[in-house]
Formats: sequence, C-alpha cells, structure tokens
Amino acid sequence: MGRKVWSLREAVSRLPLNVRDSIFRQGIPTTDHERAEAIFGNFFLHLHPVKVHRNTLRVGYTLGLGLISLYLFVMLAGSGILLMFYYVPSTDLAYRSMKDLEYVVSFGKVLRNIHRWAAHAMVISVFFHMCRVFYTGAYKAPREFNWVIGLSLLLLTLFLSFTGYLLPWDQLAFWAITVGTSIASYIPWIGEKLRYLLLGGNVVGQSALLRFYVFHCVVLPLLMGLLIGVHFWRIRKDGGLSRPGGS
Amino acid sequence: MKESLGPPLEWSPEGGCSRRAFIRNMTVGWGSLALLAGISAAGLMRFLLPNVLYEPPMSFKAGLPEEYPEGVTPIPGRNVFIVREGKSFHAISSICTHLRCQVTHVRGGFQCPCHGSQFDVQGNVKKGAAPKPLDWYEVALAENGEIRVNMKRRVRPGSRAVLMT
Repeated sequence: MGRKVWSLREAVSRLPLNVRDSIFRQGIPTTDHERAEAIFGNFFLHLHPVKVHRNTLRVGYTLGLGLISLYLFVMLAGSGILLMFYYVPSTDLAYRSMKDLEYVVSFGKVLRNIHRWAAHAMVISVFFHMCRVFYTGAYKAPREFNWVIGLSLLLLTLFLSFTGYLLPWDQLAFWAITVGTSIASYIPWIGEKLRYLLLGGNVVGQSALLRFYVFHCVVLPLLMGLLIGVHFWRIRKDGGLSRPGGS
Repeated sequence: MKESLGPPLEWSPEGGCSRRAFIRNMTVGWGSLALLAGISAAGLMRFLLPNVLYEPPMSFKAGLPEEYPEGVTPIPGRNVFIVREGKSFHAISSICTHLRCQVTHVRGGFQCPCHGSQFDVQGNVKKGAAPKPLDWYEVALAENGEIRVNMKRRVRPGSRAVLMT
C-alpha cells in the first residue's frame, strides 16, 4: 500500500474510523468465514465456539450450571473487591468494619448480602454442576482430565467458603475455624504442622485472621481464575459441551 | 566441541548437538530448575512458619493459693481450670480433646458445648466424641508465692501439688 499524505483536516475527519479499524481489524463481516474470524479474533468472544451443535443449545441438558457458577464467581469477585475497601483484617477492627458495612456504609448491606448469598449459591451450583456432569456421563473420555480440574475447582470453592467464614470475626467464625482447623490436625503425620501453618500459630488469633484474609482475597481467587480458564479451554479442546447424541 | 563417542546422530548433524550432549544439557537444565523450585518451595514453607508468636504465654502465674475457693475455678483467657482440694492443687485443660472447643464446668465434671462430649471431674471421657481425657498441666509455686501453671508440661492425670502449708 502506498503511503498517502493526509491534510490535518482529513486526518481529523478520518480519526474515528482509524480508531475503529485499529480496534476491530476487519470491517463488518459479510461471509460466514468472516463472521467466524470476527468471533475468534476477539478476546471476549473467542471463548465461544465458532460453530455449536444444535443439541449444545438445549438448556435442559446442562441446565447452564457451569455458567451459573462462573457468573456467581464473577459476582463474588466484584462484590468482594468492593467489600475490601472497608473491611480491615485485624482482630480489633474486623468485626467493627463488618458492622460498619452492615449499618453505616451506603449499599454496604446490599453488597455484603450479595457476597454472602452468592457464596452459598456458588457452593450449591458447583455441586449440582458436578452432579449433572456425573449423571450425563460427561466425565468420560476424552473429558476425564477436565473432571479432575472440576474437582479442584470444587475444592477451591469450598476453601474460599471456609476462609471467608472467619473474616467477620464473630463467635460463629471463631469456633467454626477452631473446629475446622482441628479437623485438619487429625491428618496423620502432618496434621498438627498443617494446622500451625494455616493458623500461623497455635490459636485462632491475629495471624490466623490475616492468613485467611490473604488466602480468601488473593491466593485462592487467583488459582480459581487460572483453573477456570483451563477448565473452559479444555471444554473446547475436548470437543465442546457434552450433549445428547454427540460424540 | 564435537562429541566423538556415542551412537551416530539421527538428525541435523550441522548445528545440532549429539545425543549425549543433548541428554546432559537437558539433565543439567531441568535438574537445576527442579532444584531451584524445590529450594523455593522449602523456603516458602519455612517462611510461612512464624518464629515469634504473639500468643498468651504457655507458662503463667495465676495468683496466690489462698485466693482460690475450694473446687474448680476457670482462668479466663488461659484455657485452663485450677482445682483446689484443701491444700493441694491441680490444673486441667479446658480445651476439648475432640476439636478444641472450650469445655465448661458442670456438676460432676466438664461438658463441651460443640459436640456434646462429657468429662468427669478427673477429665476422663464419660460420653461423646472426645477421644482422649482432658490434659493435666504442671502446677508449682512461683518465687513470689503465686501458683505457676506450666501448660508446656503435661502431668499424669491424678497428680496433685500441695502448695499450702
């Protein structure tokens, strides 16, 4: 292509078009091939397959439980980030900042309840998703490994739930984590060491609260995001969503 | 450097490396990476184990023996009961041996609110999920005449210390 010299006026008038072309490399797609390219050339759309089997679109087969779990995770991440603006992970301030969120902060009560109910719902939806995969035989070859990743995602969901439990720092939180980490200490050989590591000491105190906070807000969500990515990628590579009559 | 030993090369003699060199390089390369990962993992574990704990000390003074009434007295924040029987004393843990909840003193012994374990006055399991009797800790007189409880040292259940004359 020859380089054209534009006048300032021309350049300004073409600016919106230039910007658009720099973002969407090809124009409005007209053929099927171009439409397909538009999908997998786009970061946000490339999760979707270019073509789907008719049966994949039948809601009654998967009940959309995996996607529901994803949406709940996104809601939890969003509301969780907002809660972090007010919550302080210290034994002196944790309970008070939780109360502040409940009674003082604008929309704090809504956010906290979104976070709480979405957390309960996510445990349930992940569990039902697993049941669905099991009862439709969707764990079978070639999807065995994705089942294993799914199991890890279930465990991460439960760990996130457990670590979030301590953060309000009320009686329920304190004794639930006392009991929970004591259950972990029944593991032969490494149990006591593991409990010490989890709590950062021998009692549920400041270091335990801080550790659970870091796990809850950083470590586990990052792992979760990573594994969700792998999980979705594997769905595509293993032949798309499982479906009746498909192979 | 050209290796003269070993089987003939299977592909691309020019610019490639011999099988032996390839295996050696891979071993050294991946080996050092694995070693580094191992050291980092061990270091991370060590880093996460705290060296200083800001927890209530395991050994503490608990007041003069004369101040204790006859029978069981809970010591707030210390997870221990001090029991006085005349002139002799002993200390029983208030942490349930099942899952570390706080047991409370009730008529005829101790009881755990979490999962219903019951212990007799000696700390032996009467009922419930607890697998072991409550711990007994060493009690002695400190230099200033107060009772010292040392929770780092467990003693045989039933051993009592005479702390008054």
